[in-house]
Amino acid sequence: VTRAARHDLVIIGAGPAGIVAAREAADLGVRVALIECALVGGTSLNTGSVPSKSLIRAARHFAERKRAAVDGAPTPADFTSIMWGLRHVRARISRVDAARRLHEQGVDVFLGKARFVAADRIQVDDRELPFKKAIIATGARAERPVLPGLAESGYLTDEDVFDLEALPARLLVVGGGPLGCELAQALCRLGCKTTIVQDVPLFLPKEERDAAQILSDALARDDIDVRLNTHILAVRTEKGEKQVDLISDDYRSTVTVDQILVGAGRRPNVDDLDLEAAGIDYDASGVHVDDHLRTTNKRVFAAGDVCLEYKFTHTAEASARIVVANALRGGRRRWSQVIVPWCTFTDPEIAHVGLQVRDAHERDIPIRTFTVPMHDVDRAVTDREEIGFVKIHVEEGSDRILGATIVGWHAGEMIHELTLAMEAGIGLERIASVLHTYPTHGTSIQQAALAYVRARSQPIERPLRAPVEDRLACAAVAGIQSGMTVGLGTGRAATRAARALASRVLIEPLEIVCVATSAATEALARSLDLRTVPLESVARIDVLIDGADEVDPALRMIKGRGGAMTEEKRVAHAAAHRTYAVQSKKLVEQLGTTALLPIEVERSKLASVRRRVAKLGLETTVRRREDRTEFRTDGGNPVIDAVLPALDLEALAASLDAMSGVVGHGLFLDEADLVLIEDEHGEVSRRSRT
Amino acid sequence: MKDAERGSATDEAFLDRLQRGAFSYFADTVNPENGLVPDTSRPGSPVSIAVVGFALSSYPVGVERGWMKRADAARLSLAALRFFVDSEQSDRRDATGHKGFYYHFLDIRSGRRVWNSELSMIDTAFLVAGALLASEYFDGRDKAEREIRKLAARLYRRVDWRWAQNGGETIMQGWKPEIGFLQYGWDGYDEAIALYVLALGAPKHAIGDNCYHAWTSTYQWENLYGHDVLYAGPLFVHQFSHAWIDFRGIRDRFMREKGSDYFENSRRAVHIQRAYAERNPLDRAGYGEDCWGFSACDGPDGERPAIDGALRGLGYAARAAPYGPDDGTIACGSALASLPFEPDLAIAATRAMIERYPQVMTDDRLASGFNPSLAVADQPMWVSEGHYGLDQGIVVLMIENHRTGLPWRLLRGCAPFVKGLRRAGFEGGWL
Repeated sequence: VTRAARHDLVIIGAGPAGIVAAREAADLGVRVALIECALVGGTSLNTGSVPSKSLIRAARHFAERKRAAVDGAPTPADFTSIMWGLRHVRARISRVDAARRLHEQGVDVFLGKARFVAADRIQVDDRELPFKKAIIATGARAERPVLPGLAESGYLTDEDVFDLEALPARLLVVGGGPLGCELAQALCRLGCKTTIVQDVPLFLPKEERDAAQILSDALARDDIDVRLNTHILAVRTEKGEKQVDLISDDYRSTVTVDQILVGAGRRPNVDDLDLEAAGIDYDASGVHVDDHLRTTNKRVFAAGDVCLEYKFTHTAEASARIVVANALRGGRRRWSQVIVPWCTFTDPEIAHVGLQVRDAHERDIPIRTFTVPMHDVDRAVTDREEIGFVKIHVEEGSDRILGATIVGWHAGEMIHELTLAMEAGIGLERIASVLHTYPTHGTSIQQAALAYVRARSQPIERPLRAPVEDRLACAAVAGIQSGMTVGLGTGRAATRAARALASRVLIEPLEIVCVATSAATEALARSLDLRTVPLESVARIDVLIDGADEVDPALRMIKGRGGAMTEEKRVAHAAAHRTYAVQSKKLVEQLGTTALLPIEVERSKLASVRRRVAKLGLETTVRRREDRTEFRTDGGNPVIDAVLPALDLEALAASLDAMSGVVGHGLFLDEADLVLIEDEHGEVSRRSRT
Repeated sequence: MKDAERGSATDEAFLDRLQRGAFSYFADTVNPENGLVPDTSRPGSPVSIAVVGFALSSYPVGVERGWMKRADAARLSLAALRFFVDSEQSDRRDATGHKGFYYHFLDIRSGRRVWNSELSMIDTAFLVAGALLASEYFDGRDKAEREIRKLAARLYRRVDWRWAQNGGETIMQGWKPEIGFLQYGWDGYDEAIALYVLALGAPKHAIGDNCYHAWTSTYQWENLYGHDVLYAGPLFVHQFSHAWIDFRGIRDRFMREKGSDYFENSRRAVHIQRAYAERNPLDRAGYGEDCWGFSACDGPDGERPAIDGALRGLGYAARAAPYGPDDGTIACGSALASLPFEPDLAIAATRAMIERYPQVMTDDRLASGFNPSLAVADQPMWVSEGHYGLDQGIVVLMIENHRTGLPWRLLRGCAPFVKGLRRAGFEGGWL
């Protein structure tokens, strides 16, 4: 054994993770060695995603021709040419990653089998490589299930399926995971009668149920026989045919095929590395790493399929970058903070990023999903690619994107917008305002974002019946009887009351009409199926139900936080009886303790009103929305909010009433006939003006 | 008479006719000796235990509407309850049940397991719900009615709900003596609330409080076509537990957090189904604002010619909107069974479908499914032969819940349902 000079970094495995790590390390100017025992490029290039995509493209092209064919089926697919093309593509891409090129970039490439001989040394054939740091990037290989007769009858895996010279007439695919589905669909479309057998009852169990359902239907349309909850009992070879005995619950059957393709997952390559010699923990699921991707040997890290749950080329490469940063630059980057998108390249594709709904439930995160079916997306309709959807999960009560699933023909491309948004902390509200070229499939994401904006600005889908535990709302509407005209205020208390009222209308024979005090309340009432009429069309209002921002012991109030005080006062003055429902925290000894006094002002007289109000001793600010634009009432007027000093409120109200340019204000000094007060336990008490 | 009143009177007559037609399925097909009712009206059909549950729930409706004498209803109910209580419970392959549960399909004469069917937890729950409804209704002091109450209680008490968990958090969906528990891998909202409520409210073998939470943990709350909804694609999911439980205004933790309830959710589901039919992305024949109903039903099977040269018929299967599967088959009864949630839409759709496709109604009963996209032989479209008991049962109960609320009212006073709902975390409303 000859000992080489010590390398700063030794990488075992020249797949996507190893190559990226080697290049990144070489760019840093450190001495790096890369060891490969088979083919430079790894699974992805040689047996995985690259050749399979080439096959999928050819199969899709053939399926489209078949669909478009007017006079029966098109010419059968030329499988030999397709496979030749596939190998050509593989050769083209592999040139970039050839060993020579890596060497030119400053990487010492060693071809041979590597194994650890000590905590800081690796042996390749008869050479020993001492290292400062090492990365295990040995990837994974096809899982080979042990089934009676399977090995004897012969089978394909994703490692040799691309070497097929002729298309089998009948194929059985073992495993309904992403790779199994991709290859089953592609080969079926090229003319192979295909059966998928999966032992669990759910199809694509890691995907959303609806995504799996859509793909299951798509495979059925391709005439693939999908058998879920089905186990293989044995494989027999009779007269050159493979007889596969199956059982589903207690139903037995036999499928006769020419080839069997096993897509039963991937097994990390941890054998023969003598990991024990370096004190590195591992098991059948791979090398054990911490969140910094460091193994139990502090000099050694791992990247890619050998240690990750998600075994994709892009996750392998991302983990390699983290490892190089952590190993060579003293970084503390964490794998758990990486947002991982992935795509199953079936037709339609299924792409996903971030949390699934079930993940959110497990973490007790309240979640809400905005869905746009592809048949609501114009470009999908024009392209007749209407199968699928965009589902974006946000944290309830915010627009923060937690995850998304896209099913569609371009899902793999489209998921990037959402991945970027999640990475950059961009929410749905911002996405809604970003121009998306029309007509494109990508507008579906904007449509989902716009659905969020609509749902937020129009909280119209409230339950029809108020919860009975909302005692305040129920008390507020308790006295309402059939034939009454009911005024509905604006704001939270009025919304609760409207829901309680709608509940009564639905359950009882209660015939009422409502007068709304704002566009928002009007929309709410309509959504609750409460009949609304304009104030002008009614002779009088029997009862007004509203809320307030502050109430003093004399039942004087400040209102108008929602900006509807002018109309609320107009309706209050038309009402025979006025009930205001408030929480006990709204009770104050003196008005102005916590609330500002809103004053609605004609736009053209804003400056002069502010000057005159200042002379009354009131300091004001112009109300703005969250986005800093000027707030406008339903009447289109601005609102100024005044700090209320201890003044004679009656005199102040009279001055404001008389002031030119003032449209209305929030001092409600003698409007309340009854105030209902809800304490922190939900108990309700009453105060009447006597 | 004003137009509105006239319309309403016409609707009443229309509903009365359909409800009576559906009700007569039970009277026409029941085996009076043992109270068992077949799954379908087709010759040789086995018994479905869920259909017996619907029959037990429908007899009180028939009595109140004057279609059946109370004594006859009590006699049929008693026959069924006696049969189930006395039938063989064992792990033998041809027993009637095991651990208090019953096999999905039974022979209508012997009452023994047929079709190698599974011991069905959800179908047993519907059977028990029917038994409990009967025990609430038959509150008389005569011997027959007293025995009904006694047998219903015994039937319920015997069900070993804990055993059906197979050591897990949720209830398994099936069991067979040949292979043990079955894996269906259900995920998301489904029709099983009544199953969980009964399992939580049981006097013996009740499941733990955490089971319901575990079952709801796969729920998906979606904004779809402008509606916020607890999503489930097939319409029956939004109806079956509602046949017995009045979900108006009562809410579990999930619905409290979402500010909705299951009744309101079913209403929104109706709108989603209708919106899907209007969009009709797969260009199926007939779909429209008054032609919808994607649910579990009979449909053309894969042996028949392919639809559109692509999708084959699914046979008896659950259709769903908007993600499918959708083979062009409409479960017309599911639109009618949406009556309590959206009366106007349900009536309009049912009327329109019957007017446009009169062959979907025979003997005043709706066919299980029809498929206008598929012409067969000399028929302009495919229609399911005969009638299915489940379709008729849900129609009887949902029309009654809409008209008088009798089933809901009876079970609002039923202690096991109240206890089960409370243990599941339901609060508010009538509870």
